[in-house]
Amino acid sequence: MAFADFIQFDAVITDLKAQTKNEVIAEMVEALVKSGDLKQEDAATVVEAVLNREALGTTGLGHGLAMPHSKVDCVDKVVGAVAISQGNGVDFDSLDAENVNLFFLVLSPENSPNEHLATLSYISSRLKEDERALEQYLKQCKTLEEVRTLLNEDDLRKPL
Amino acid sequence: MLKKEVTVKNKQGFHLRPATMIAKIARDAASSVYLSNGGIETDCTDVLDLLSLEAHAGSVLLLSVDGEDEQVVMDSIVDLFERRFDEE
Repeated sequence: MAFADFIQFDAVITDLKAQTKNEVIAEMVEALVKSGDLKQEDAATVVEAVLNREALGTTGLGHGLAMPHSKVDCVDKVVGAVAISQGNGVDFDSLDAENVNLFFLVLSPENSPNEHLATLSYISSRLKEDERALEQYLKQCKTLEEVRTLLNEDDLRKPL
Repeated sequence: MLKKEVTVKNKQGFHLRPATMIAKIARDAASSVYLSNGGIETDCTDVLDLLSLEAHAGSVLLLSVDGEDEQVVMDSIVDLFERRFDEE
């Protein structure tokens, strides 16, 4: 697996405008619509699905990181997006009560538990490597190119 | 220290919600809590660490708890696995 397999780089946001959890999810989904990875008519359904998942339990993992996600029937492969909130971040009801600056949105096809889990696990394993170095570098990104470079370099660096 | 094998019984595998449920228990515990998969050990207070286990349905994990409330913590986490994290 590689970030390039599922991260939609045209939907990367490095200056999230959102101030709340709902706004974060809506803004990231809208970015996927603008990049052509989601249809406009599916946006509301996707936002609702991700928020329903949040209602079961926060995806704010602590350390300023969140992984909102859901299985949806409007994608036929895993679709991922990255967003960075500069400054103080967004209250995401995280486990450590800290605001979130880095978001990974993961949308997986329905009935794909293995693929979904593998993707979440992959993101986790890469972010925690080297004492969470990649996570820290991503939070400092100011441009799409910086995010793309970091993730592409990580894809090349990891063991095969 | 207590150790026990636990099986991931829920169809969705050991994903973010189960990991979060365990992390909450581990964070409140007066014991150190670890889960291992295939020799890779993770700290249960860290959801990122737990998720990186990539434990699919059917995986057998080793739960280790060490501290003054180890029995209570062990029982709580084992119960979560048995209940399939209330998913099914």
